[in-house]
Amino acid sequence: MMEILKSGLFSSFQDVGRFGLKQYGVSNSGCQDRYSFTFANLLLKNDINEACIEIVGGNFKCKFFEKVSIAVTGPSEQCLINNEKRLETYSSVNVDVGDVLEIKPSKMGRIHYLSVSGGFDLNKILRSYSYHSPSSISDEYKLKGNQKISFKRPKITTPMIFNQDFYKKYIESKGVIKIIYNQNINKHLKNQIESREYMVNINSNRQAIKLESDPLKEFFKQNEISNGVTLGTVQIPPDGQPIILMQDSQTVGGYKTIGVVPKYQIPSIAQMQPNIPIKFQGVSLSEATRINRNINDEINRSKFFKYQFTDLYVNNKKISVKITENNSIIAIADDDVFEVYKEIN
Amino acid sequence: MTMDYEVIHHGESTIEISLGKSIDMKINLVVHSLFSFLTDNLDNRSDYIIDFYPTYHSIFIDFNELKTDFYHIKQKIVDLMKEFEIVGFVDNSKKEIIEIPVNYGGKDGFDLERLSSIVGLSEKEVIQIHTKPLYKVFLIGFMPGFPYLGGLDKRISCLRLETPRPKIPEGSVGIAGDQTGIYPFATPGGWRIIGRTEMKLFEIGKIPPTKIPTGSFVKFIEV
Repeated sequence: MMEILKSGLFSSFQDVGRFGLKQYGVSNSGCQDRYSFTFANLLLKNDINEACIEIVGGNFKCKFFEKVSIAVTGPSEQCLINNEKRLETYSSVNVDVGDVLEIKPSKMGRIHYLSVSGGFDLNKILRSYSYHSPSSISDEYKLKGNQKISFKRPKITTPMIFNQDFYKKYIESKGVIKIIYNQNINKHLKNQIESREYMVNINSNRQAIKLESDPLKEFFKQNEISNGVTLGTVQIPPDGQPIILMQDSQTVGGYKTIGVVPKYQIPSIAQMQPNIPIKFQGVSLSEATRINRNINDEINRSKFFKYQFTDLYVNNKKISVKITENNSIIAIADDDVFEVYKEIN
Repeated sequence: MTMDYEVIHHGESTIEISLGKSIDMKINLVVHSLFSFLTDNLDNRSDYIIDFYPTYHSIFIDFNELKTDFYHIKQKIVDLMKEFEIVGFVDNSKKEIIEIPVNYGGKDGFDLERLSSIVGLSEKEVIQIHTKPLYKVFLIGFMPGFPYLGGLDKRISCLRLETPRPKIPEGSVGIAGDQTGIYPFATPGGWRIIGRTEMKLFEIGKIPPTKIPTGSFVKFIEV
């Protein structure tokens, strides 16, 4: 069992989503950064759809009441266990009775995933463990301070670490949002869209990421009939400011759409910080499919390394050293004068 | 019967089969007929379909782009549409009529008075007109189990509120433009509320979770 001490800005249980129920108006929901979510379960050899805690904006603190292996994924940052820098993202660790885990806000992204070995003990709601923020169908999946959460089958596994370059390579924002344009969008309009610089609006949430720029006036007048939308649909409401629909969006929408952001870009969009300029860039259907599949193959092929902790004393300062099975060293100083040095492969 | 339709991609993993561009009872009937044909012949036979649902004039398919692609499914749809044209359109809209008991006006229907004066009728007349038709469930969306009902008498049609209310109580029955609908959960909303039902419309423990499926009919009863 564990207790939430600080639930942060917005923390909820999520799995890959709730599917096959759009005909009843039920959104897919599910994790916003599918890649980091998947690694949180892979690191612990969990079922790949096991529920994780999705932590938006950090400021999360919890206390463990039994021994269990945990993993944290998301923007590269060190998490504190009992106020010591002990857990890097994309790695797992064993916690003891009374241990306190703290996840701080990151400058490199917004969302972390916390998994426990064997999974959290929850009951599925409409086939899924995912919290749907706009309705009250799954309120028990939203986390609150002092909440106690039981584990399903708590296990101790060998601590593992994964090459963190994955986050940098595929998830960290490069200032570009790829878009597969609708068939009816002409060259002039594409130029209009791609020449603008956008910023993420802070009112973005699990339903939609809102962007701001010089308004696209081509869309000021519209009277659309509600029609189907999907994860990544880019809508332009009459105010000319784009909205990218995310996991908790409605199943139908009544604004004009220009295209859809490909699946492989969704984690990156979910992790985008406000106030960083970004641009749209077109991508073809076949190119997007190819990239989706390549990244998926890379995840399936990914290697995790066992590691061990050792404490060393250098000039009377304690340094925790992680040594992986291929003899790479990841040193983490308990003092800020030491830089974190890491080498795997 | 030859059918006019378009197969459109929305990104790399969603397909729309569009049968028109308007809210039209006839098109919506064909949508539901095609939806059940494709449920049997495509959805239930493929492991790559993630979600599959009808809208006013289209059918949407979300698929797993790791297993198949747009061109493959498009070809499948073109082949199945030929079969559907031969089998022909069957009006298989669910014949069931769901009766919804409604408390009109007062505390439950807090916009009835205002709506009546806008459309120039008495509250009693509005209720009579609203309870008369058999409404068709055109679409479920906006929120889990929210039915968009078509067939509203134009005499009581009224634009939605300019500023949505922060909270509409669960079970509220509202009017927006030419449509009427029921809020299965408390939520912010801009429809004009004329009454409220005690009937539970959405149950999370069941599949299907909604009492009012797309394609069925609704009759409002004044209590």
